[in-house]
Amino acid sequence: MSSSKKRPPGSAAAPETWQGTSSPGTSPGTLLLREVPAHTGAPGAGIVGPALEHVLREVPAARCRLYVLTDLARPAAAAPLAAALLETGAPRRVAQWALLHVLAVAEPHLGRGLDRRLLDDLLMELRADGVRAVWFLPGPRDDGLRALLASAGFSAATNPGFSPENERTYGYDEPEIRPWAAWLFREL
Amino acid sequence: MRLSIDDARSPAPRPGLDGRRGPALDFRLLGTLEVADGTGTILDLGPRKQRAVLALLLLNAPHVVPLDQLIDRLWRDEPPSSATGTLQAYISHLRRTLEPRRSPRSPARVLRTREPGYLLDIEPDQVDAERFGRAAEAARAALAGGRPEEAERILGPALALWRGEPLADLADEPFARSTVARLSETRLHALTVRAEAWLALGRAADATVEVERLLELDPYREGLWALLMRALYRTRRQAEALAAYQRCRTLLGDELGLDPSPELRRLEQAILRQDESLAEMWAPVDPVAAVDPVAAVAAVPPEPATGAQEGGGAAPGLVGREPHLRRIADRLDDLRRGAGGVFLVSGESGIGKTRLAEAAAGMAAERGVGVAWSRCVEGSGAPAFWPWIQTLNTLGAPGTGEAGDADGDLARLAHRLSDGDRTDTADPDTARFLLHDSVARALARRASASPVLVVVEDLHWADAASLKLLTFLGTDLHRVPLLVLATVRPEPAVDRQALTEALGELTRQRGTERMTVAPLTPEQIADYLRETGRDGPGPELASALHHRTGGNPFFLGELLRLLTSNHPDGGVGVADVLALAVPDGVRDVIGQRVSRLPEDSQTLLRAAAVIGRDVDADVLETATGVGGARVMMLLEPAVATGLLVEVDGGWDYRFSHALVQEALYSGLSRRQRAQLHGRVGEAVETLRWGEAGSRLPTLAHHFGLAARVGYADKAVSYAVEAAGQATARLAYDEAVLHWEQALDACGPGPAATRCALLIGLGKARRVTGDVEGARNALDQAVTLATGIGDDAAVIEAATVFGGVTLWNWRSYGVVDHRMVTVLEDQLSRLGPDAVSTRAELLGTLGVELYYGDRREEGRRHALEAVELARRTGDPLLLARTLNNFVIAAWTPEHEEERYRAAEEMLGLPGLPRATEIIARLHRMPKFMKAGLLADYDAELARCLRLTAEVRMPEIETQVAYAATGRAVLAGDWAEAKRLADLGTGSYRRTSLWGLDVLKLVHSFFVEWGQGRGGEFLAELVETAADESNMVARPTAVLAAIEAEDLDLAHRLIDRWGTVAPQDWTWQFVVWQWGLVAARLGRPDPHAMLAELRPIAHELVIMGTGCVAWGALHDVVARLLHRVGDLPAALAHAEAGWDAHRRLGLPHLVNRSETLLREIRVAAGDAGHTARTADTARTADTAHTADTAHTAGTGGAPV
Repeated sequence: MSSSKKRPPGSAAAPETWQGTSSPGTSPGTLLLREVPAHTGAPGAGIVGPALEHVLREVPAARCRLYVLTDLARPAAAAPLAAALLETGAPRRVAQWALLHVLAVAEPHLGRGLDRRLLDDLLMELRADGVRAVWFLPGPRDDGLRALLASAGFSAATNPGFSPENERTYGYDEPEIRPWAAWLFREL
Repeated sequence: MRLSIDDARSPAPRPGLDGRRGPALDFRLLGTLEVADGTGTILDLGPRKQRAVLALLLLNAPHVVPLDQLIDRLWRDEPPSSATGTLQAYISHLRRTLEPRRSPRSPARVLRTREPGYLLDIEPDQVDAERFGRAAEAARAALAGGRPEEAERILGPALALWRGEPLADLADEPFARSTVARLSETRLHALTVRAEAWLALGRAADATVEVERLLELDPYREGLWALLMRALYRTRRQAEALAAYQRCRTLLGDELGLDPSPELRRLEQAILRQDESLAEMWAPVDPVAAVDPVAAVAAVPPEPATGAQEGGGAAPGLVGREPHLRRIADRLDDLRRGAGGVFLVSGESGIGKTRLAEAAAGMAAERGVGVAWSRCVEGSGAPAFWPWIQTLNTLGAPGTGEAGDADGDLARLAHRLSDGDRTDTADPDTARFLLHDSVARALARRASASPVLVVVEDLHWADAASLKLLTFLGTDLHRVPLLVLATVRPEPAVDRQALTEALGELTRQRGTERMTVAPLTPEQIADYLRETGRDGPGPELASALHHRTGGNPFFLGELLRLLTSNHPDGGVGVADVLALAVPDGVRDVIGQRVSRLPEDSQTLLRAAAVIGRDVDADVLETATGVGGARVMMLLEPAVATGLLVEVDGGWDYRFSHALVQEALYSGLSRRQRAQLHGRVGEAVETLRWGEAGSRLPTLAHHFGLAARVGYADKAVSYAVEAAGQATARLAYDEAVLHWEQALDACGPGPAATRCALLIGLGKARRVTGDVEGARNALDQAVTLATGIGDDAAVIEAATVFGGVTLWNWRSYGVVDHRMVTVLEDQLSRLGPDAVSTRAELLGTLGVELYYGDRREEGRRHALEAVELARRTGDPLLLARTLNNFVIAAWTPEHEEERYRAAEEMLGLPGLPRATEIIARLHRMPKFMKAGLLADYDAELARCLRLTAEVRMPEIETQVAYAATGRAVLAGDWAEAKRLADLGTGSYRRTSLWGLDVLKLVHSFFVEWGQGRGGEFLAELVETAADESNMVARPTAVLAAIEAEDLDLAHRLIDRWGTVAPQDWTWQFVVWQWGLVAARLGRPDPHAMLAELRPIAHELVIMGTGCVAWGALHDVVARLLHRVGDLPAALAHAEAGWDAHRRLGLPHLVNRSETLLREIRVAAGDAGHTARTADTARTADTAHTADTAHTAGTGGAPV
């Protein structure tokens, strides 16, 4: 992609769409979403934190999805920039819903809008898989993510639309918070 | 759940369509959008937007809906990149729904991608609306044909297809509105037809009920009112019929302010009259048009006709290319007469060369000419001979027609090219010749069976080995029915000397023709716009586009695509072109197009651009860590928008144009590129596809470009392997490239590694004739090896130039004292057992000492080297040291020993071709000097033959010069000039000393032989001023004399002296000083006589060729004449004349005769004025000499 540096200052009316997310003067993006097998030693596990272990304990591995945002212009062994952990309906059938557990950006990469990039990639991926709705139950420390999801079209819902088997208490959710926590969801 | 459509209904979907797709899907839009699979199960079409995508595709099936239009219809408010991502996700999921059993990486068959978007590849019968439309039309026809039963029978099941409002779930989508209206209208017509049929069948009551119902839906249709009136009249309800008319009149009058139509009024009158002919009146309903979803929708206008060819459907293909096509057609027709050749299509990037080549391939196919398509790859990432390997593989593939590769010849050769040559010969040069020759023969055989067109795309990226093979082939193609059509960019090939030479050589060959593809003119752009229906009212749009794109068709195509993306609905206007934000060039346009894709797609495209123009999907997956299905999904939009094309059944990809890949690649930062190359290299390494041999250059290429980010070791080791492989394939120039690549990758790496690489590079450069470059590398190697105390490496580096060469590889007069010290140091520390090494060192030292005071010592070293080599019994070592001796002992007094050494070389077994040529060239001056011209000619012929096999520039130069000297001797000036040019051409490809000075001296003598030559005076004086060009000094003085500037001649002698060094130039130099002395009296004629009289019988030759002249008797005679010994002068002049006559050298015979006359005249004068004073004699001699000079026919110069 051409660097927008080259454009004269007067041409601000240019369609801004062609810049993508790469800000003016920077190199074009080489970020890429990858799904990695969900286990405690997986790349991105560090970003997801203790939630990974909790979810792996509660949910069959086949229904856990761990996504990482990597930069192809960094060494292959480098840690991902951001990661997200989800749970979906039963495999081998079209999963009608997905439950977002964690979406986080690694410390050194905060503030670059990577959470939004990861979320967009994620939604595209889930949509292509036929997932119809994504749910998220915000915890006490999820204000940032809640705001991100709200800006991405998630709205409040009191009654989760997925099957009751998933109505369970997660170890990391402090029980006293749950009753008045509102779900966020978005149809795809 | 709804089951499959009733079997009894006439137009039913076909079951299996092509056996691969499985039972056909049934697409239903007469109700909510539905798709039923072959078992009748209704598929889950997902969320509303996804269904809308499907509906849009369905309404346009089986035509392509451009991606931009889908986005414009469904995601008008979203930025294109995210909308494209969403769309792609839906497309991807729809595919899985429609073809659940398709493996993720096999190409989709129902919902397909085709530039510029997507399409549903289905039959009309698979759509309920289509079936309904046909049924309605058939029913109308039946009714009009008086077959109401048939009409009714058809319409029953057809109307049952309706499940509700068309596209009920999407009815409020703007794109659906017109379709819904149209389909509803069609249904109303069908119902009317059915009511009419009922009436005709006597079921007037049913008809009445039906029409009343229909009027509730649409009360403004007079046709329905008429039908109602007739139905009521038929059932004897005349009053109600008239009341119906009144209802209609009131309705129309009150609501619309209209009167009933005359037809309806006439019907009322007929009822009043009780007219019996009522049945005939008011023909049944209007014809019902068959519902063609495309015609019905019109929401999406069909795309302008676009070629399905790769390279961009929108790019103007062959506009303005008629002359090229005509010429190509001629050349293809020539093939039938057995005449082929090379057809070069040159033009800037994006100008349409490939389009032209594709057209040529098409024309060839029409003529029954076999086509093989090959493609060169940028950089060093492909194996040597790559385009030829592709060609041979294509032509050798089974099923290429009756003229195929009956005996597997071509396939075997392709393997030989790709796997290194296994020819059973010790000599690489011969091996290369044999290889080229085999390829040429095999292709000729194949072509003689049936003509062949070989397309070589992007010749500017061809490796040197392939170019050499092409020029080799080119020589004979004018009598072989094989046409090579090569596309090439015209930009100056920096560092591509091989290309420049190959193009030069091809141009000189008979069957070669070059056509330039020029940019489009504004008029041609206007033509193109007109053809594609994009033209505006005036020429302004074309001229604006021309201004922006410079007439480059690819740029034009890309620009139009971008503009169309920005304005999916409307045409493109001048203002749009002018308002385009980025006028910088095609790369920016591509950048903008890429930026409309989802971000992950952009990332993958960038990674793909690092892989190259051709993108192996496995490599891309492995390099990015993304699974196959997702790679496919992410690259889909790039395929849909024409940036990528699918190849190999949709498995792999290829950038639609080199510029697309280049634009993406050049947009990456150096760090990004390096990391990506590293990933790609590792992927190639992991995957291990193909033969190891063809992987090496690829690995060396990618790791080389990733060397700075941690891949240096791999880069070095693969480049070294690739260099070894290239050498095995006789692709020496590639070997040099790979060694250089290895050194680059190594950077300031460990000294031992660098040293080994420098030695490899030095050797490889030496083979290609790059003496300067080799010396540079080897000097560095010696320094490094000395620094780390690696004697073996020092010796290996220092002795490279002791190899077999014709000339001393140092510049004239230069001794590299450092190298001498190095060699002596190594010799002093060498163990007594290392005999071979000692021989090599001594031989090399002998050569190194040649141009200094220690020449005689050097000769003795070389002699000792020969003795040592003899003891080892190694013939190649002996040949090498003998050759060292021949060079080290190159002085007048050692001629005999040198010739004997050359003889001995020629007697050694297993001599490589190059060594044989060199030994023969060493021997040939002896034949020349002795006047054994028949022997000289025989040797020369043999050398010329061998040189064709060796094709090393250094050898070519020297053999050409040997031939040049022979032509000069014969006085065949034109031939001498031609051969000298040939020699100079090869010379230029080396970096040996002496190119300019030898050329200049040669040119002077060619002119001098024709009585001219003064024109070179200034250049000669300037050149000879340089100490290392001192060989040209006497020539410069001769030129001054030739120009009658005797003062200058004297001044030059004052300045330079008249030294004749005792080296290889001695005879040639002393001859010229003799000529000068005879004319000017300086240098001392007596001293010159002392030098020249003993060798007066010899013919003159400069070194090993370049210039040869007659017998030295002539100059001796002149000198004797000058010093007044006329009888002796006469005797020598006669001897010279006799020799020239005997050898059949007319121009020299003429010269001798002139000289004889001069001397005889002088002798006669002397007889008359016997015993005249010395002064008078001197004046007379000078006078006659001057007279002779001006009167001589051949222009005897002195």
